[in-house]
Amino acid sequence: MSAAQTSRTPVLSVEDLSVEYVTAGAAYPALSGVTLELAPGEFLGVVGESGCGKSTLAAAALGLLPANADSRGSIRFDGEPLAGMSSTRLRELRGGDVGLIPQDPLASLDPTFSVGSQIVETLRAHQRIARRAAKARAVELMDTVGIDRPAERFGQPPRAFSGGMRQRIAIAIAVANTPRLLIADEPTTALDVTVQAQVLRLLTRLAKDRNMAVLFISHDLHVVTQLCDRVAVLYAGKLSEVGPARDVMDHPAHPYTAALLASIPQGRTTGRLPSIPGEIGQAALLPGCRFAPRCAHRMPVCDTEPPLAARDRGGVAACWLAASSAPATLAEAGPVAASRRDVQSGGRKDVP
Amino acid sequence: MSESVELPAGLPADASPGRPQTGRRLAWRRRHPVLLFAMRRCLVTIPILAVMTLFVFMLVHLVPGDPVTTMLGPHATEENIAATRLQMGLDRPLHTQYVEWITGLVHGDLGTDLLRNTPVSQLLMNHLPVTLELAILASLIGVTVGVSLGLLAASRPGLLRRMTLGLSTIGLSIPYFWLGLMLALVFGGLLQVLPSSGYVAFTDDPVEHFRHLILPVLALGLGQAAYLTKVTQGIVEAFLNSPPSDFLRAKGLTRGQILFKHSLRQASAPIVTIIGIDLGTLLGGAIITETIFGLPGLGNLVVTAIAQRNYTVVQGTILVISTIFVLTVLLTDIIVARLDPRALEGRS
Ligand SMILES: Nc1ncnc2c1ncn2[C@@H]1O[C@H](COP(=O)(O)OP(=O)(O)OP(=O)(O)O)[C@@H](O)[C@H]1O
Ligand SMILES: [Mg+2]
Repeated sequence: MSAAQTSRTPVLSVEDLSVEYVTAGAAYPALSGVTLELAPGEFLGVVGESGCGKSTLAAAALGLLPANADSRGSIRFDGEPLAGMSSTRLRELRGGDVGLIPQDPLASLDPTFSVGSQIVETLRAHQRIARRAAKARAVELMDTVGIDRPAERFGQPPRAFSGGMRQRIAIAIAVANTPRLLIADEPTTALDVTVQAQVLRLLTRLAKDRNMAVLFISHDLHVVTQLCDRVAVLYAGKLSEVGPARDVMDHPAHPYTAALLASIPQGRTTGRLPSIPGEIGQAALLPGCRFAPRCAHRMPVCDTEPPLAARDRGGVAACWLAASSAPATLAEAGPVAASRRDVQSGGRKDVP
Repeated sequence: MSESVELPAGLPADASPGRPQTGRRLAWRRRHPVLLFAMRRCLVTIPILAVMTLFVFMLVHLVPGDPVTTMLGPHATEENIAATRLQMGLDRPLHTQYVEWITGLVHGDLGTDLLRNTPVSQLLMNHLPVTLELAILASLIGVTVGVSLGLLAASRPGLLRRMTLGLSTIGLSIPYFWLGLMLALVFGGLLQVLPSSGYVAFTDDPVEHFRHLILPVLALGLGQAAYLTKVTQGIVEAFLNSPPSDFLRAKGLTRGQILFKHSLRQASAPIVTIIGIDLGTLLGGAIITETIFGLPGLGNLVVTAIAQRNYTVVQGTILVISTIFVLTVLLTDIIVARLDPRALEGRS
């Protein structure tokens, strides 16, 4: 991040955001006191395990939290608070200034309309543009995201496209109105590895060409550190560490980040992946540090809320360890914290 | 996966539309899958109609009793009956009679009403419009009320939704003949605001014509409205809570666009299917409703004809009703295929 960029108004600024889901009378905190800023043109990665609140953050940024969600704190787009916006202004924002690539793009296109008409519809929701011109623009967009023979495929329904191609259509829809902010919610999770790489390349190219800021949500810290300028690590609804991507990778200040890094397989693995011992479970309901039960560096003080300590080379870490001393040893401590376990299948938590 | 469905057997899976000959045929098939489907469905309908005539004929002729006994009354002598039967051609073998009937049908001749000595086609021409009008108006009421209430219930959760669904549950559990009797009793008998019996031709008095149809149309249409309310509400509500709907909101579409364009499109195929199939049920229901409200439709015609063993009339009426039903189902299938191309895949 250059100094010139950071001095400008952030495209997105999230301040002390807390979201609770109320189901059957019980409240579950999905996000607690999250504070983030995204400068124009910046790539910010948000990582965390399944269920840590990543999609909730994306929904909140679009003002699209479900009816059973209770939120506090503020979200601003270009300095303008979402909470004060009229529904018309909010609609202008969605799909206009803020594009979303949904978490499940394969299921997110309407099966009863052609892919082309779904792009046209997005264009016409935000621009005064004739049907014919919108169609030409949509074909152009399909070409840009790498669909072969776009004019011919314009009229085909989503089910005529493969997963990777549907993902590209979702991307075309998200960037159709050249948004200033693109929210990509695990844009490659549903795809196989080779297609993942292609889609990521496409995303970075589009973002650079159009100077879009990107909120890149992923559960893969490795991908995020390669792609993004900065990384925010979420654990059970709380930020555990935010900092420059490269530096977070090389010098993690939070034991959870270290453990995540250690769980990235080095080279080829044969059916076994290292993973972090323990589970998130109901960590969001813990009073002190939410990672403490799984932490290899646990101290008595961890039962109380850890402060946000400044990291050496920028950013913050929510950890008593980081608050007391420079965590130079953490990078090495990582592999100790992680143990080898069988790959767990079906570990994803479903959202009701 | 979906593309392989349209590929004729024996072609390599990667055959692209650009190739010569087979390629061009394939391109045509790809470009007009609905037309292709419609043509196939029409071809299938022909044998269905043929088999149907046989069933109608057998059904009518295998039931004991014949029109001669009715015609000549209880005091007719054996010889008298035999002579009349001979004269009317009823003594000949069944298959001869069937062939004769079919030959007539092909030439547009539905036979003659033996009792009234009028062409059956003319009787049908007199009675069919009443029944069709009743069924179509009932269907129209059912669709308008049902789809609107369904959309309303799905888009406005809370008290309104619960009330609408409660009403439609009640509507679903009331048999239409009972509803017909109740409507006739309350509005025709107690309140005396609407006629509960009789018929006035449109040409005689348009206002009275429709006033006489209100109660029978309601009796017949409210059940369908209740059913369509439930179906529409279910599909639209499921759609509004699905990833496609979330994505549409994230694209910045208005509530109206999501509700009326996208979720209604989702519901349209099932709705059209129900309308199509219900039209058959409505034609059947019209028979009873016509009897309750004294309307001179096909129902009235066929009920009398059955009692009198009036073969040709019963045959003609059943044939016309079933043909309308088969053609409606055909039309429904084609419209559904046009609305939702997914329907093509399971059936071709
Ligand atoms: N509509 C909802 N009602 C109740 N609880 C919800 C709802 N949506 C999400 N949650 C819960 O909130 C938590 C955070 O959900 P969220 O979808 O934000 O997680 P995520 O980080 O995106 O996970 P994933 O990686 O699986 O997509 C989860 O525990 C989830 O079960
Ligand atoms: Mg998610």
